[in-house]
Amino acid sequence: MRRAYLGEFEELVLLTVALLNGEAYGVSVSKELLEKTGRAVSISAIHVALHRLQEKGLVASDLGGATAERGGRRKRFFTATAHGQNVLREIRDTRNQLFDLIPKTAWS
Amino acid sequence: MKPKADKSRNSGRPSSGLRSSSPPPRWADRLLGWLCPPELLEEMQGDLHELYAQRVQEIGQRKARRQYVLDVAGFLRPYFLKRKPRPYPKPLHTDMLRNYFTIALRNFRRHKSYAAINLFGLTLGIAASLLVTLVVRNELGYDDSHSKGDRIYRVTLNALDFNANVSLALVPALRNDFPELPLVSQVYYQREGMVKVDQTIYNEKNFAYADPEFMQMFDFKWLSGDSATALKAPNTVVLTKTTAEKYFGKENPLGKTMIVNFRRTVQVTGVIEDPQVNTHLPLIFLVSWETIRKERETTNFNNIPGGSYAYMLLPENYPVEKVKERIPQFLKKNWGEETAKEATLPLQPLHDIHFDQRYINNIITPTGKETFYALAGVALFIIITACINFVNLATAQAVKRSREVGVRKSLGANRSQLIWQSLGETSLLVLLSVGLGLLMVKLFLPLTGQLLNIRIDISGLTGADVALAIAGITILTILLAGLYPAFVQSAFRPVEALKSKMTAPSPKSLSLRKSLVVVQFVFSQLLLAGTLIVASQMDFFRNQQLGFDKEAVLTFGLPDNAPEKRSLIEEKLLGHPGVQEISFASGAPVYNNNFTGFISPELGMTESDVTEVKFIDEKYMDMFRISLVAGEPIRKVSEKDTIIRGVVNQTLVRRLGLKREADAVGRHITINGNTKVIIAGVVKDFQSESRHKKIRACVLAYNPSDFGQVSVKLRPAGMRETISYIDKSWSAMYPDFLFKYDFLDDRIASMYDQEEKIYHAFLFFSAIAIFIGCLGLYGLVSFVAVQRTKSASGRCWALPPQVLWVCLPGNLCG
Repeated sequence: MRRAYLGEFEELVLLTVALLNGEAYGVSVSKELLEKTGRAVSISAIHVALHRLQEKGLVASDLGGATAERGGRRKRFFTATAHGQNVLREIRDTRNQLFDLIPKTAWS
Repeated sequence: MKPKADKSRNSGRPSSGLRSSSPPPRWADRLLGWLCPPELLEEMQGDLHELYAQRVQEIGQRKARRQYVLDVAGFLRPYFLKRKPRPYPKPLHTDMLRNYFTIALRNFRRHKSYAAINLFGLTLGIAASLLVTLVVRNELGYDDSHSKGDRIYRVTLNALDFNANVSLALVPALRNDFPELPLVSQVYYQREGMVKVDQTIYNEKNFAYADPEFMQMFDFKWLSGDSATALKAPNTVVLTKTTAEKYFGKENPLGKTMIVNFRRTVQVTGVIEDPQVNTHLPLIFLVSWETIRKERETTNFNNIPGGSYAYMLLPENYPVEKVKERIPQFLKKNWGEETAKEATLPLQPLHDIHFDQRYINNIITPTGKETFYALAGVALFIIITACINFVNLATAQAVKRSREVGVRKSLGANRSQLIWQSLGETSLLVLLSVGLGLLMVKLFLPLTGQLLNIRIDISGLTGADVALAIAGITILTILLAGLYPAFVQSAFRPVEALKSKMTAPSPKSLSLRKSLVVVQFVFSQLLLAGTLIVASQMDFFRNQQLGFDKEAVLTFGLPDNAPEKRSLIEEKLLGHPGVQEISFASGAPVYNNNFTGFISPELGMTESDVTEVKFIDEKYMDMFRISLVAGEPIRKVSEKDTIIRGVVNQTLVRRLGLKREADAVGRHITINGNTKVIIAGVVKDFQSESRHKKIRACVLAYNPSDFGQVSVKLRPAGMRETISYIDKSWSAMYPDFLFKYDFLDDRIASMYDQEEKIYHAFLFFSAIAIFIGCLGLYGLVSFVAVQRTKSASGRCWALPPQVLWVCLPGNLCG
């Protein structure tokens, strides 16, 4: 399978989507990112990232969950696809392997 | 700026509580709506609103609003603006347009005869109205190419008539007495003459003797030579480009010489571009006035040579009244009290010359402007007729397309879309017609010269005003033809249309159609009546009693009028079996150039009246069948008498105040100031000028020294051979000259050229209008016939005549 290139921010957003487990949409992702990583990201940047991920087939989306404060507008919920999950795992494995290979003396 | 506006909006509203808090700035929302992909708008806006609601609680409304605007701005990034992947593309107008186009073509193909009738009718109508536009433009554009045109006036004479010719004495006197006029110009016009270049003799028409002022007053494009000096010296000539090419080919004409009227050798000093065709003064070359000035009498106010025209140019912003009010004084000073009392000098604006019909001695017969407005009216009739055709056929056809309208409506088409579709279809046809019409005009234009007797530049078709006219005609036609059918067609109710209940047109549209057909026929009748009136007028001009016999009479001149040559040619011609009679005179009945005053102290008439004087021989009255009412005809007189025996016409008798013609015989009148004439006989009035003028008084007298013209009555058989015989005999006598002859009836017809032109134009365009009307009726009838085929076949037991009766009444009323 072709390895999709994933930027740092996109990877973060994908992780958040996976983490939120079906409850991920623009606002919730932004809130989660702020809470967990301390990064305040503009809502539009998150939307761009989410749609890029969708184009790459890493997340899927669905409309639903309209509320009054949204003026009756639905949310677009994102879930990580199997491909997305695989990519996340691969990235983590690669990192871990590389991390483990760092000689201990190098940091001493 | 933005926050300020927000603040003012907030100020009036309560800002406490989550639910009642004011919404985020609406303009920002709207901006987002415009610029963002519609399929993403919902989630984006939802998220934004959700965030906004939270922030209002956390950081207050003002900051939340500001943040909202910033967030919206964040969304306006190329990624969203590009809208690249559009899962649900909004149907573009082009898609629908393509559909309309396809449907229109299918419809044309399915109803070929209907489309053909419409197309042909519209094409013809548009071509005709374009042609009329060109004709009218040509006529209304007379002499419009001169930049100083609105300051140029022709000085004319109003003594007994409005006369465009004036005395040669006038121009020098005007120059002297009106020093404020920048230019005063003398033109001495020649309708025809001979030109000899090397060894070739040309018989030329329309040239003039003119002074250098003429070239400065009017705008000519100089190809070579100098406008200020070209016509200054005697024996110089300025040629137009065409003439120069005709005489000298490709050689440089400057400095070359030619001989005018066998007497004057003139040298070319300039070449000008051909002047505009539509001018009151058509010219092919100009000889300097100095060439002949000294031979002409330039002091006598009452000596008015034919062809002498005077023009003046006013200074800028100078009211013409200032000149006019000094004219009587000017006349008095130069020619005495008597002249000032009898004559005035009307100043005729250059741009009026072609339209002022009061004047005699114009080179081109003027035509009233009304004629051209009438012609433009005919063009409008033609367009309307073609449009009515279209409307009728289209509304009739609309029923057939009701199902299409039903389907379109039930698929969500709204009315305006259907109207645009229908109008678009009309435009398609109209544009096609305009294209074909233009082609038609282009092909037809070279023929206008022969058919309508109007010469139009093909370049006229590309002028800006003509382009404007074309656009105007196109739009007018589209609206006239398309609007009503579009509204009818789009008004169908989808349910009825789909249930095919619309088999017959509604009674309302039927009655409209009827009235349109009636209107069409009224137009046709009007045109027909108008054409008949013009035709009868023409007939009057051409065929009414002239008072003399014009058939088969050939006229030609004798250059030197020597008595021995006269008897020689008489002898020669009478020997030929094709010649019936021959007569010598100063001119045949319609050739008249000799007018003078007459009085009759004997009958108590002391105020001068005008009369024509013709010198004729003893055979003249017989040959032209001029009938004698009283007294004796003209007799040959051997030696010159102090008292001339004259024959007068009935008009002159009436002018003398006599009731009976016989009473005039034996009376004396004085013509020309001092010549006594005894009235020997009276003839019936005959038409010696064009019918535009009343018959004038006329004196016929015998005087061989003035016999410059020969009239020959030919026998009908072998005319061509006879003419060539006359040519040969004449040329043998005058080897240096070119034989030139006229048929009298041609000459008479040429006096009505302008009427003929108008008549042909009316006839032609009316025929087109009526033809288009018939075309439309044919289309409508054939359509109704098809519609009633069912009803006719239902009556299969009926005899054909009965079927005819079923169809006929409906057809007759549309």
